[in-house]
Amino acid sequence: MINEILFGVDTVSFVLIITAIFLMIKSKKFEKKESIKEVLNLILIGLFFITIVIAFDLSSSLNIFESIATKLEIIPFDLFYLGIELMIIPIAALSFLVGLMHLRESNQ
Amino acid sequence: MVLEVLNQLASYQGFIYSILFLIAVLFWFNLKNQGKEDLFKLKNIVTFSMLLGLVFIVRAFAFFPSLDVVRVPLQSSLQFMILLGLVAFTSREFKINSNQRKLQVEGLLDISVDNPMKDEIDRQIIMPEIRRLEREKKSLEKERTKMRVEKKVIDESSKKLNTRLEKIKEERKSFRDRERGLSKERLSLEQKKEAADVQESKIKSERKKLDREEKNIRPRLDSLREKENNVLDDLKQRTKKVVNLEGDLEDKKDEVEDLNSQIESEKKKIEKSKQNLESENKKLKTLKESLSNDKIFIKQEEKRLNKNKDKLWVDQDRLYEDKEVLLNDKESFNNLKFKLKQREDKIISLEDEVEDKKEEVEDLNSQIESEKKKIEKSKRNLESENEKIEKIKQKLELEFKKLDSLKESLVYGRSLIKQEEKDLNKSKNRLLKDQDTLYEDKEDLLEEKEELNNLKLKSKLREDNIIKKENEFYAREDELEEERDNLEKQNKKLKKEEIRLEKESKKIQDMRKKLDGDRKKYKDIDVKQNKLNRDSSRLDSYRSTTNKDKKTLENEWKKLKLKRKQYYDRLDRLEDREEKFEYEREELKLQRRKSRI
Repeated sequence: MINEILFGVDTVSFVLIITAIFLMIKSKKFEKKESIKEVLNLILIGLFFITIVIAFDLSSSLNIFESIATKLEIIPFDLFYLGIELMIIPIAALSFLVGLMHLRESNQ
Repeated sequence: MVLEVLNQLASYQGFIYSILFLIAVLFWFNLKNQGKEDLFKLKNIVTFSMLLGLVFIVRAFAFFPSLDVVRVPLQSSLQFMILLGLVAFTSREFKINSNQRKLQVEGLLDISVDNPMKDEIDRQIIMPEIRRLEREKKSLEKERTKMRVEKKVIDESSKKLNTRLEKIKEERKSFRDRERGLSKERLSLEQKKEAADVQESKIKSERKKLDREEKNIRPRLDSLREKENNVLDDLKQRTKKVVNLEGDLEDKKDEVEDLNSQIESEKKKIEKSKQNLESENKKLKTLKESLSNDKIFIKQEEKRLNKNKDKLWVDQDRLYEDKEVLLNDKESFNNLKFKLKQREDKIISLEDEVEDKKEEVEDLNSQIESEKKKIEKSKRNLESENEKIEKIKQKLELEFKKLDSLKESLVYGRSLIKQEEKDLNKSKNRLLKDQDTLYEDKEDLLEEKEELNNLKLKSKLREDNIIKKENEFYAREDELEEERDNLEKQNKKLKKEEIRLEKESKKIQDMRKKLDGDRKKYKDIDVKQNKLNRDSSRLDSYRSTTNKDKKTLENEWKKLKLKRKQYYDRLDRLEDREEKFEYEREELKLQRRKSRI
């Protein structure tokens, strides 16, 4: 029951992050400075990677990739999942950081 | 093995990226404290997106599987809450920013709102657009004049065509009238022919009658001769027998001789009348021959007339075909006229649109002028502010220079103090006093420094204001870009209209070509009309000849009538004479009887 509720919350949060990205892209034009636009782009990249992570969480709870991986006999899903966790989440964090650094530099 | 290694790496890396996220969050909040968040219009969105890092910090605790019972719901709920906030703030700020943009755009159009960008928009975008519109207007006016000229030409051609059609109709009517006249003449000729036949038959019957009468008169004359002879014989016998009565009889003989002479003269007259009758017979024969010749001639003419009639029928069919073609052309012409009228209406509507646009442009010009004035005012204000800022800068520079000089003087004073400390221990009190004065100077300097810092802060604030103005400038630039896009769209629309006008001009040219073809057809019809006129002139000449023949026939008929009258008169006279002769005979008989008695 709890797992099902958590799955529902995750799906809603996935939809929310997609709408947030869409709204951010739409409201990006209100920013005038190119440097701030670049910062926002970096933050958007970070958010995009976070959405990928959320999507993988959802797929792991649905066992989609596991079934695909077992059918295709390519790589075990755990390896794939761990590889993504290893690659994507640090990239998102780094994009946030780089964006903030860029903001600081541009203001100086 | 690989999985275990990867799991270990992931657990270690979870801590690493949690640290990275923490750094990012702290960095952002540090920047926020420094007041750099004002640079963003979407600052709340950035904070919420940074807060997403907390989720991954919680996620890093997956290293402890015993905490999963708490971690997973906490992670998902935190993620949900942050994302909900992110969406709410992004939508709210999007709405606010879009409303602001709308207001800015409306402010560009509003005359009362001061906006320095309006002047540039007027110069760089609206004025060239106005010029372009004026050029288009001129070209449209040219096209309009061309269309008017073409319309006039088409109207003239249509009038000419209508006049030609009317002429053709009139000619057709006259041709029909001529046809009717010809048919009437034909009928009258036929009637006359019939009448001539009837008269011929009558003449024949009269001739027969005359022959019969001749036949009847001849035996009478023979009998009269015989009777004469008998009478003469009787008279001779009686003269022989009655010699005594010779004297009386001589008188009577003389009378008889007279009577004989009269009879001879009558005989001569009868012979003459016979001769006359023969001559009349001859004349009748010649008339018959002439009539037969006339009949042949009439038949030939009839044949010719039939041929002409066939030709005329063929011409009439052609004329009807031409008429149908003309009616079709007229319909097509009317359709073309209707299309032209529709195009004219379209052109008029386009002209109205152009005039509306002109009015709009004039309104925009007036707005632009008012905005220009406002912009000039704002420019002046900005220039005055700039001058003030420059003055303040100059003052600051002067103060800095003063500070430098004061520093230099301080250094110099310290060196002097040291020299004085070394040289003059006696003047310690003075030095102390100088020190006090120096401290006072220092305090003044500190105060001046504070003032300078305040000035710096003010300048920073002004810089911030300038940055804000720059931002506004960028906003106006975006608005200008949007307006440019709109103008480009209008340009495209106008180009489409141009293309449409070009298509219409091509259609008009095609119509002209069709009209030229129609003109050629009308020329062909004129040629046919000339042919018809020639045929009608030929027919008139035939008519005149037939009329002449008719007149000659009528004259001959009159002559025949006169001759007939004369013949009947002679016959009456002869009958009268016969009656007289019989009366005299009877008298003679009575006298003879009396003499016998």
